[in-house]
Amino acid sequence: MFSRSLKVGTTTTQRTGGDAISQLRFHLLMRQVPALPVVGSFAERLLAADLPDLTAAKRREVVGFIAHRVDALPSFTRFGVLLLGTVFRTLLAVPGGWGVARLLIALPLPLVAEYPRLMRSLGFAYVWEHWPATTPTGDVAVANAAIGEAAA
Amino acid sequence: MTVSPAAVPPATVPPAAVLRATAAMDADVLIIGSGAGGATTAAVLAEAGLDVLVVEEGEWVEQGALVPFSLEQMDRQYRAGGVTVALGLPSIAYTEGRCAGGGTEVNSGLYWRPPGDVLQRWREQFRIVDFDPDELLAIADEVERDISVCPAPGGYTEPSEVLRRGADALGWRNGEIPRWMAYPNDQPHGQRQSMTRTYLPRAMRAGARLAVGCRVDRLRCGAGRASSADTTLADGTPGTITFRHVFVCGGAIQSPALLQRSGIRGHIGRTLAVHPTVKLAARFPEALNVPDDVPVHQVKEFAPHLSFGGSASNPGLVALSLLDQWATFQQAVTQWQHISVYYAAITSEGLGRVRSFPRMKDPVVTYGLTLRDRALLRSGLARLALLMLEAGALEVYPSFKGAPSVRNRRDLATMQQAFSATRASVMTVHLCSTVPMGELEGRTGADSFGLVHGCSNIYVNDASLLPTAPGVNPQASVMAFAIRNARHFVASGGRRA
Repeated sequence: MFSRSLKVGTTTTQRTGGDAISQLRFHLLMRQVPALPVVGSFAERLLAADLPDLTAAKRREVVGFIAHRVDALPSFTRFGVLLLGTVFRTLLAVPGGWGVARLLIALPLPLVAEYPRLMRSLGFAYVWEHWPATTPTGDVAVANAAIGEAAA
Repeated sequence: MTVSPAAVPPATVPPAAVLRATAAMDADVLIIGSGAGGATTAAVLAEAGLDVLVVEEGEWVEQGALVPFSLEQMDRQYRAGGVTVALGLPSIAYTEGRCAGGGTEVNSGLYWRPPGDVLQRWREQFRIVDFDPDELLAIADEVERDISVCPAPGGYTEPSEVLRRGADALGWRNGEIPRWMAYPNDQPHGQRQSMTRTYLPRAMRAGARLAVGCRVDRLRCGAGRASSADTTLADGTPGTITFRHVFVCGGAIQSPALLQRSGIRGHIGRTLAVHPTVKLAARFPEALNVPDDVPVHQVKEFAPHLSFGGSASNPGLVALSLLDQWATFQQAVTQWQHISVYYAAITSEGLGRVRSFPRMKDPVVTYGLTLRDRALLRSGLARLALLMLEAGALEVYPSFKGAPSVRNRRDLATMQQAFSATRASVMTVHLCSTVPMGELEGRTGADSFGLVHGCSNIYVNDASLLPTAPGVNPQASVMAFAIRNARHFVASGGRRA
């Protein structure tokens, strides 16, 4: 990508024409597309289905965390996740798409099944680490109130 | 094997002594990575008077600054926030440390010295020359003193007692695994004697420099010799480090990946070995969860093929362990205080690969389990569930899709029938053997002291060198071999350079 001429203690960096073109191609392919717009809608929908009582504000917080983690994935994995994310995002944009998406994620398809699993893993880990008293339906407030009553 | 608790006073490094990497650096010896391999190598070489620069991609994080096994710790001390995976059927989740001290900062700290029969096998099957297993075990003695390997003072946590109780009921061999911990005033919570507490301060006292926030992208090589490294600093600035010798100590994934990116081929990255594990969560009548520590007992009745131990079990990780069968297991999450997570680990006959592709920052990692591995995971999970029942578990939740809950021995047969490794959450924390050492042509990537075949000044000195997975926690083996190889380098005056 770069050719370097070296002197001990100093570095100069020159970009050659051919290198610059291939670097540009690579960046177009693998550039840091933020994950949130790609995986956000699916992650939000999945969490809403799994944890229907989780408030919208908390759900958005969790989705933000999921996107942050997807952004940190190793490059190849991230590329695959964003590719699948694009497919599912497109599906959600069409009428009845969520039903098709649910069908797809229920099938034991290699790699495809990993996508919702990744979203759920990150989301659930975040929810129960931050709000350990959350109920299985995602109700944080009820759970905390129950703990308060027990303590009283 | 062990010394008494708190024999080693905790050592600290003033933050000012840790350098931020700069765009242009140089050293006689460059060490890439500061974990169990890199830190020990740095201490030996610096104490021999060499000019040593250690570069670390991650940051220096003070011990105790983060909650162990938390998401924040994963963000700051693990590669990719702990979300790394070897692709396959099933894919295997793994973790790598990415901070000063590497994996020693974040792992359980359990210590197993390399088994004698494994060392003999490695010597013979991979033709490791000038290798005396007794010499290595003598080095292990030193390591155990240096990092304060000792049993826990006082009693054990309840999740640890569960393993002991269940194994005793079944007549299975079990015991406490010592850890590299110091326990000031016999307090139950020890201070991990990781690399930032032991070998890195020692290396720096001897004059080594440690620069954090510096990723090495590739080595510039010609005629089997490397003279400089291209780097990227934490802010994205490119840089260069010039050197006379380089030790690659980035761990079993990053070390072969760097060599491949540098155009070095041969037997590099082709024989990744791991200890695959499957998990279950077990619920007990009493509250026993310990969110920030792991059990110190392991069950070795079926070792080396199969071992049982305990995992970190904070509420988030308990929820994760129930995730595969959330529809039926979800109610259990409300009782996470009564739940602890356990694993069955196997020695695998499968192999993985680490492949770097042009212009891709990270390698692609793959792993394939054999039929025998899958059968062993199945029987391992069933035996672990049995052990939990014998220890008094009310209900056991195996981590695979379609799993039934297990309440009694009859349920075990149903669980075994339903199990499929492809549907299981398989993970590992022990990665090794991607640049195996020895003189056996075609099966080794480095010579008997870590010098990469075909190169005159590029050494590997980390878990990559272990010829196969040792069947026990590999960190002791990594440290002992790293010290042996570094001493040989010093004694031979930097061979062929």
